[in-house]
Amino acid sequence: MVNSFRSRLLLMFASLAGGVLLISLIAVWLATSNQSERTIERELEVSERVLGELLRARSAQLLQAAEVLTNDFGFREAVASGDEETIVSALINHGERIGTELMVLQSPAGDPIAATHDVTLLPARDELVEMDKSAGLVLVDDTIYQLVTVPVKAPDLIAWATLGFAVDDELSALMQQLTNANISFIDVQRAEVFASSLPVIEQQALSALPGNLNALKRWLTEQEMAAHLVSLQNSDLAFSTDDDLYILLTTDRAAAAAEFLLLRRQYIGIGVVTLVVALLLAGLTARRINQPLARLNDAAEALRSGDYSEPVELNRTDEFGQLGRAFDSMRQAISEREQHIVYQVEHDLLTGLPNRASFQRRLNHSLKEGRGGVLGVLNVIRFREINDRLGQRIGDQILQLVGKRLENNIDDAWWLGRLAGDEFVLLSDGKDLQSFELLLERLKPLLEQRWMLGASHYLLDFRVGYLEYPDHGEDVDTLVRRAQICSTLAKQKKEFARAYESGMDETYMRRLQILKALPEAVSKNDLQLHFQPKLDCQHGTVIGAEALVRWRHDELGVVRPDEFIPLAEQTGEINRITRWVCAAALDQLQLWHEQGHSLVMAINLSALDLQWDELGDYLAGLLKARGLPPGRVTLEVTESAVMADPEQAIARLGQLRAAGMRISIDDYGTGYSSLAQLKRLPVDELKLDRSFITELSANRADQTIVRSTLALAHEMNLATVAEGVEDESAWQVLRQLGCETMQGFYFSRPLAAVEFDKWLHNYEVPHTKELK
Amino acid sequence: MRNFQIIFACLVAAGAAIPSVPQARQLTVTVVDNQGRPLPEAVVSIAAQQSSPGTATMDQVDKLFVPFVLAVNAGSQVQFPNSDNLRHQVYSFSKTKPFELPLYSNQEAPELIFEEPGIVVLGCNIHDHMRAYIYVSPHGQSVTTNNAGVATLEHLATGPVIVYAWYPGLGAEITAEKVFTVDADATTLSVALPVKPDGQSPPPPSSLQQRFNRLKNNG
Repeated sequence: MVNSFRSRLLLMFASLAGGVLLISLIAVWLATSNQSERTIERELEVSERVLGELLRARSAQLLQAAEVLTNDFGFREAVASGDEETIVSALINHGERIGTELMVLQSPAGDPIAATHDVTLLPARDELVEMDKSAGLVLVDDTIYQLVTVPVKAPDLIAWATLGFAVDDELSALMQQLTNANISFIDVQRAEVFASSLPVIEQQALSALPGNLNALKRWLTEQEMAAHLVSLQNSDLAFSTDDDLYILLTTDRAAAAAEFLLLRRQYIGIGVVTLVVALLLAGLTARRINQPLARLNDAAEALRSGDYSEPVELNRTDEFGQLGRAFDSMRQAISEREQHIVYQVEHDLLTGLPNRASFQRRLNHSLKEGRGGVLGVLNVIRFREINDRLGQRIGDQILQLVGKRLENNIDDAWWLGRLAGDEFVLLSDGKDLQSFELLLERLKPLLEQRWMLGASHYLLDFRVGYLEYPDHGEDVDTLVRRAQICSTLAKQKKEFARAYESGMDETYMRRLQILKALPEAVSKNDLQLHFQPKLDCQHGTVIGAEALVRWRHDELGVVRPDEFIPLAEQTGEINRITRWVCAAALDQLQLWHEQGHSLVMAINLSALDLQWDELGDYLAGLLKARGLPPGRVTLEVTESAVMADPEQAIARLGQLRAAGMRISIDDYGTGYSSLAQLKRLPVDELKLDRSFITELSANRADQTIVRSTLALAHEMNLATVAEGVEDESAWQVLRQLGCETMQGFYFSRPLAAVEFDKWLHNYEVPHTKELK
Repeated sequence: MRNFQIIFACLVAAGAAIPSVPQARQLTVTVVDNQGRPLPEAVVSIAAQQSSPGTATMDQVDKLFVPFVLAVNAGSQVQFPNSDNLRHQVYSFSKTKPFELPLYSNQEAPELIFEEPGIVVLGCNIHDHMRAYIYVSPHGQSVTTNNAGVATLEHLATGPVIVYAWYPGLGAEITAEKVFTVDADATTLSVALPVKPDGQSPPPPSSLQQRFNRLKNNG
């Protein structure tokens, strides 16, 4: 509850206001309580004094009236007459005049002349006379009378007249009005009320009390009355000879305290109002403080969740306003920084184009939305060379120019980004290959224009691979890879652009896998040599074998040489393979020689092998180690391998031939070697390509080519070999045309060493018509 | 009350010339108060030959004057007997006849002669409630109405007659009278006086009286 600032502020305000109010209320309470008591006491004192004064004044008044009465001539005459009836009649008449209720006429000697009351109930005459000095109150027959005693003189004293005026409820009520206190004339011991201004019920209650002072006091307390109990025995108020007669002055405490109660109530009212106002003020203040805090809190929450759009405006001039403004400028700064960071994250800083991440997001989004389109990857060919040659700065500037030119020449439908290095990407939802090709047609001449950089200008080659999504791939990586494959293929095929075709990727992947597996092929002993028998064409006898490398990979299965050799050439792995092949082939040759088979071993060399300077030495070393004569080894080099670098090939082959090994030109007839080059080649043998042989017996053109080639070879003292002999008829033709050596499925496919041995053991020269 | 004394001076001389009839003429006057009720002890008078002064009695019974209103001719002698067993002190401060009869008992009956016409108001010095009026007639013949409010005037002169009516409190002056004219042949007259019936009201039995009595009886 008190966790929030607002609650705490409210509590603080309430405690402060409440505390101050409570303390002051207690102070007021105590003060008014005391004051109330004091006031009541003072009022009672005043009432008592006023009562005394009233009684005295009444006595004086009564005395005066009595004197007027007794001075009346008729009265005196009546008294003087001595006739009782007349005296009584006069007393009644004159007594009625002044409303007396007690009349006693006594002779100067003290004998009663006429009386309304028993004289013996009255004090002695001397005391009565003495009473005139103060208000004399006497209880006679349960009624209190205020007595005055005056002489009747004619002119000598003829009688004493005592007049009594009842002190009754009426008088008490009058006194009460004047003294502002209830006046009761009571006998405490007898618990009797003789006259009182109190209501009848209270008078009765008072009468019903047990006759003692404590009971009276208790009753007064119960009745909430403040009281003065004045004994008339020794009082200034009145003179009385009765011991037990008291005047009880009472005032209602509640009535007396009413003003103070009102004051207290007002004060409590003011307190409550103050408290409420304080709470309201606190609430308002808390609200005024809390509102901007809550506002800032919300704003901070919005910032935390990455929403920078809502400005923080408090519209205040105080500290909160300053805080709000600071907060807002912070929001703007963060927003700007984030925008900057986002820009950096999404853009390539060099060209200002969207980068790979944003391309991936863009394409992913399209794929997720199920939109189709076209994607193209554009590479700058040999950009690395530019970087190497001209420096990275120039390279970067060129990339910027490329980006700019591309950007300036595509319409808004196309999304252009830079993936990495020299690789740009074009993307458009809803377009197909045709529209991309139209775009390329437009771009191609632009990209072929010069790239001006300062005073220099450059020409660049571009390759593009493109495809459609989602037809050619369902995820970004696949699509990009396939586009890159297309681009790579375009580069290999020296085309500007190439669209993806299905299968491309699989081939490419297999190539990649092969490339990856190649380095381990030798070391893991996955390579194996197969041997295809070579036979004498004229006699059909086995004269040797061609060593053919086989690669059986766990995952890739059997990898054909035409698959992995070019790749091995590209990676340089060919050297290791060649060495292994040579060693293995010569090991086998040595074995055959030891077994008494005097065979010739043909080993294939790649174009790259010809660049290996130590090749001759290496082979010579192998031969020597095995004690094999070099003449039993034929090294087959393809025509295209020779043509790749004829000069080096001629030199290398010259070395090998000089070492005693035979050189054979493989696949002869498929390359572009000229006769002039052939003339210069240090070769011993031409190996006719299988394409001329397989249908030799049926194809006249092939026959012509083979015939003329054989004739040429013979003219140049070169031996000839035919491969791909698949039927007897081809053999017959070759034999007739004068070919020396042959090989082919008609005799045997390439066989592993063990099988070769079995085949060799079982081989019998076919009996043909011609041979017979 | 305004002065209702109205004097009619329109005596008809021709009427006086009519020969008188030897038959005695009487006038019965009925007086009512302002409520229209018969008013006793009202005085009605006519001008008449001054008759000889007579004697009259104003008694005191049970501390009351009896009668309340006594009409006499001027020069009449009035006795003041005391029928009570206590003493009275009768006095009057009227200009007509101020006097004081010192306290006297029922053994005595003082007499007074009222020479001057006018109103004499009586009181008792020791009984404040006692009050009575002696009407000393200035007219010649004055009578008081009985309990039925009726009085009879004798020996009226012939012709129209002026009748005077008096009652305590008729005007500001105690002597204020009402004057009526009756036709020559009229024998009755009804008079309405704008007054309330007056009289001595003995005080209610006072507590003092009771006390005295009680004490006396006990003693």
